[in-house]
Amino acid sequence: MSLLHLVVLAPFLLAILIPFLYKKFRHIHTGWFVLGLPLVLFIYFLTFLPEISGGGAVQETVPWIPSLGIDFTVFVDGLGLLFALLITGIGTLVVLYSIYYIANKKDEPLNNFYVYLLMFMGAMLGVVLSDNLMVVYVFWETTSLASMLLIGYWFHKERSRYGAQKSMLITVFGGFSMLAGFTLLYVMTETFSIREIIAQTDVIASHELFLPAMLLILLGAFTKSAQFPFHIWLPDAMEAPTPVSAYLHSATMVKAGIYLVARMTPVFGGEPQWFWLLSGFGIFTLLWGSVSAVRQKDLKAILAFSTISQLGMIMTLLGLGSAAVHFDLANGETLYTTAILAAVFHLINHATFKGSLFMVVGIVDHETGTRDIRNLGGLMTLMPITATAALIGTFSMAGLPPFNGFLSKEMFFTGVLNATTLDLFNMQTWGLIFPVIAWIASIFTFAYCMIMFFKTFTGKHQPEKLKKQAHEAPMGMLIGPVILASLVVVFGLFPNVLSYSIIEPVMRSILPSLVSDGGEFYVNIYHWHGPNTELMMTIGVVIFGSLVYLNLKRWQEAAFFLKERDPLNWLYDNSLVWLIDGATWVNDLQLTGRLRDYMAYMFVFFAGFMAWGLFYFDAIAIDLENTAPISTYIFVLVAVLILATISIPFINHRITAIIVVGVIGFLLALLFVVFRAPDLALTQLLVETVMVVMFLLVFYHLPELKKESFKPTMKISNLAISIAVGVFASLTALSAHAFSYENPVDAISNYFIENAYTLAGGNNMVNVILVDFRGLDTLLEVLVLAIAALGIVVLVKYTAKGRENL
Amino acid sequence: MSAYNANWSLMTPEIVLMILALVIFTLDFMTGMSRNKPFLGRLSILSLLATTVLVAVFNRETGQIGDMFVVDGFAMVLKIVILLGVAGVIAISMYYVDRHRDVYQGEYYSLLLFATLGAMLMVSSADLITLFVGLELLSISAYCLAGFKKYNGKSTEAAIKYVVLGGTASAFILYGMSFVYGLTGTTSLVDINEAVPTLFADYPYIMTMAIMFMIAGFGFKISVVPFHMWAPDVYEGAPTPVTSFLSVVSKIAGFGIVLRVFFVGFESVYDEWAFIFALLAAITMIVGNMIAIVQRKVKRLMAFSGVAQAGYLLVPVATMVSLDMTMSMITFYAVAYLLMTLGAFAIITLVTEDTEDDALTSFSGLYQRAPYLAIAMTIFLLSLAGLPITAGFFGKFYIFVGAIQAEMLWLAVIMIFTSIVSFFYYFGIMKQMFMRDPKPNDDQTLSVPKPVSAVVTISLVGTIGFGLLANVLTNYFNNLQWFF
Repeated sequence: MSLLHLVVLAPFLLAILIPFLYKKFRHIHTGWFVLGLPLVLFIYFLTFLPEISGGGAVQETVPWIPSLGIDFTVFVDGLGLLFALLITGIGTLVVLYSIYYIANKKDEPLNNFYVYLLMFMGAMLGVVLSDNLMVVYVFWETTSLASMLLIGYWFHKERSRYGAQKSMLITVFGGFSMLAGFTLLYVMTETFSIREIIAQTDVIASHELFLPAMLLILLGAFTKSAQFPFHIWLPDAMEAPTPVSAYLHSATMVKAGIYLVARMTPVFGGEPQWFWLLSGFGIFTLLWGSVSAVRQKDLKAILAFSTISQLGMIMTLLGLGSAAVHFDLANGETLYTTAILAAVFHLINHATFKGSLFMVVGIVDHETGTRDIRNLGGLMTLMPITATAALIGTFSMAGLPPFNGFLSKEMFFTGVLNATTLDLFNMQTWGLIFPVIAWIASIFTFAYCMIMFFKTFTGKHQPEKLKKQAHEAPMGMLIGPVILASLVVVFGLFPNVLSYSIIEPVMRSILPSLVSDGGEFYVNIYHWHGPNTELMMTIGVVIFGSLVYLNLKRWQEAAFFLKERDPLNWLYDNSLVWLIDGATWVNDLQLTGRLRDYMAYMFVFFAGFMAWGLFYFDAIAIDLENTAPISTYIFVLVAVLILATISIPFINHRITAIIVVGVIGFLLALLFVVFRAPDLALTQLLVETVMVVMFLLVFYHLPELKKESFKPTMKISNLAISIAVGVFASLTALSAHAFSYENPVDAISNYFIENAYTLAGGNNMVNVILVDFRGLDTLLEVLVLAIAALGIVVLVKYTAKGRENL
Repeated sequence: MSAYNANWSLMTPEIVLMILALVIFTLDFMTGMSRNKPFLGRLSILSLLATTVLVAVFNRETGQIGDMFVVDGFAMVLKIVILLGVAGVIAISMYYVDRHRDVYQGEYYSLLLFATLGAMLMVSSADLITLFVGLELLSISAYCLAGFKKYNGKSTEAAIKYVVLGGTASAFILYGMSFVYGLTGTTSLVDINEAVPTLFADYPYIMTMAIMFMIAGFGFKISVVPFHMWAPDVYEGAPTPVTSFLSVVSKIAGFGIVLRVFFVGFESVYDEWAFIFALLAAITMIVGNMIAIVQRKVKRLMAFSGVAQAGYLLVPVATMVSLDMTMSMITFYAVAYLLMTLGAFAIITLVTEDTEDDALTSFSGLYQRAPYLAIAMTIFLLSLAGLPITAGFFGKFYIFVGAIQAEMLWLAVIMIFTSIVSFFYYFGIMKQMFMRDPKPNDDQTLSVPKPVSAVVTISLVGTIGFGLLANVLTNYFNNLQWFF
């Protein structure tokens, strides 16, 4: 157990203490106890920067379940470190923000909130810093669980519960699929370690399970990172408190899928399926998200769809960039590595501007009581600092200079344009789709950014529609967005502070094969590239985007834009309804609660299976030649037996029925006599007598048999079942008999005939079997009888004393 | 072999338990009609623990009395699981019978002990007849236990249904066994195993029928689809601790018998029956999980959850790569199943008794009423659903890897999908506990009686412990000599 392990587990340890701190120091906001941890961890992770920038990596291992190859290995490389810094850095700001956002009211369950939040933080660190896939999975599901609990934090709202359940079902579905994918990788490589799997890439690529494994892992990534069509959980997750949305549902958790894809690129990258699935789903998600965002009225919903669309964009870039492994870096091929560069850079940028925007929206919500853009407006003068942060955030997201969003948007355009020149994977025919869709999506992105900013902060102030008197937020709440907004500007003006410190190491993690011979990625980010295509595209985006924004009214009359809810929700909601309907149907079909139905099923099974077997194995063989002669006795006995059996269903009187059942038993005993089995006959007679007497005694106390009228259909089906059982059982017996003459088998009695006297010294074979050959079983039977006898004693005793004691 | 030179000491644990059970029985009716006899409960737990120690001491080495009674790794592990399971059930019962005046305590405990004895015989026998005697000892005691709330209509109904359907199932088993005996002339599983390959070639119909009828009968005892109809009704009507007995001990012992019969008696014709188990596992997982969704009563829900779990347990039976590995998987899952189900039932007993309501809504606001119980229940449910880091997760994962290694991908896929469905209904209980307020007429805090909290704590430690340190158990199982 090293310090690094402790770092990953630290949030969990603190989470255990939180309930006590909450109880003990009730007057202090619990958030203050939490705040220190992410800050310390952030600083701790910063100390790794020099080593990681130099191309190094840190690894610490603790064996966990060695027999299955599961070790808790913490592995810090560029990719892991970037995420760790995001998790702890944004985590610090979010915790600080939450202290002001969620007031320390009397019955506010702050302990729950921070326990869940810490649980999430630890789990997320575990996901990005573990080398072992099983450990990744364990932490991955924990993030889903924490996310579900946080979405349902205000559980009194129906929408919260709905959102919590939805996110859970979708992400757990993805998680299970991912686990299946990991297992397939394990079956192929016999290891769960990502390092070792990457080392065996050539073994995997030719394996037949390669494609299933890839698809299953992508399912995990797509559900977590809200890619179309699994994105529907994210807008409903916005029911969580805003700090949670800022943290989990924009900056960190939803990027776990991106992380997974980046992590797995060395394994799957370079395959056409990987390339197309990622870039295809990614680019469509980008378009779908940005178009859907335009029709939202709720600020948080706009941000949710915007997050979906930006995640799609990063996914696209990772897909396009994966083609880079087919080229040699030494020849100066940076055409496709640019896409990876853009993905990494945009990942950082998105965390900064989206984080600040979420916090801004939270402030607006907190200070005005609404997030509906129809009620908002003119807040610029009332909340100047918030408005400034919002301006920086939205303009960066829209891709305007001099903010960091402009830089990564330009690089994105470069990436998709470069992709059109790719002569792999049929890109010659389809390549042009990417820049076109990217450009259209960017227009809508620009439009919703403008909606967000201008509808909220400019225009007419409408105090009568607000629940509260709007004013600027307290200082503590503003620190978070202001820091993030300043980072937007800093990264925009001096992007190269990131270049070789973090971006280049991350690219090494994603594309290790390109630099395995000691090379280095070329990372230089700057604003002015001259009047190239990308710049023209941006100018086009601004013009058309403004047109969309100015003609918003007309756009929103079009059918697609009328409803705010995503049409795919229909599928989710209804599939749950179908599931429940289907389950009810299966339930009602068989679970009637009536014994006679259950008996009927069992006998249908019995008869049905015998019938199937008889015909499938062609086993019907009736051969009456070798049967024993039927004597008159037997004939009469059997005839009476049959008559008695048939009469039972027609008897309406209980006592009569019992007597007839008894008659059947006695006739059976007589049959045994005829077949010369006196012991058996005697036993049968005794049992039958006792049974009839007992039945008579008991039934005497019961009420009269109720005359039930059954439907004819039921009568007929019961008749059919009984006849079928009789027929097939008889057929089986007859066939078995015929077979035994075809291939004679030793009679089982021979063993006892030969050995009864020699081994056990007894002449009466039945006795010998009971007391000797099966002595142990008899002993146990005696025990059963003894228990029954004792039970009867107790019964008698209790009846004697009466029931009044009860 | 003769009765004089057989190694009877192998049976020491069984004999001791029988004597102790009879002593408890006698003590009961010597102490008169007074209802409150907690000492009997304590004595029963002590007897079970003593027997557990004896099992650990006397059953460590393999041995046999004829081919009837055998002691091997499999018998020892399952006996310990069963004994500890019953001890947990009795601890829950001690709380339960205190609240129910219509349950006679003495008979209740001794019946449970006799049932345990039956279960121990079942897992320790290598002969069709001995096995059946053990099965009936367990079943008959269980029939009585199901109807123990004599003046409660539902309980009586449950007992009647159980006895009638259970009797039919036993008849199925005997019918199947009689085919086998008729063809092989022996009831010893080892001899049967030698004889069946040629018999299968000569009499495919009779042998298939024999196997099918036995599967149907055993399938009833372990409640797999389509022989599961009794489970929800009986589980619902029976006193809750008895329900936990049925779903934990009875089911594990039933699995013991299935494994013993098929892996010892029919191992040589594995390919003939493996597919039947694969099909059963598939429909059990699908139907069990589907129907559980629509249940509104927690005991019925647990019944179907138990059905579904039986489906998961059947997967390794159908996907054997090596016998030792399969046994290790099943036993690990059995241990996990014992812990999580018993823990869940302890909480269910307490909650349903306290609210006097067995609907799912009786769990509402449990987190506010008893946070520890709610968190424990969540862990048990997560474990049942197969989420990390619980014993249930590793058990299921282990089985899943096995299914893939045996190249039964379709079964693995069904496992994944049904696990997701199962999450839906386990989530329902979690939603009640965490996302609802307590009902107004329930007490704001729920006090937890000692025996219940002991069971919950032990199960919780086990569930998380074997989740974190699964290798302790798997290493032990991997090195075990399973069958004699």
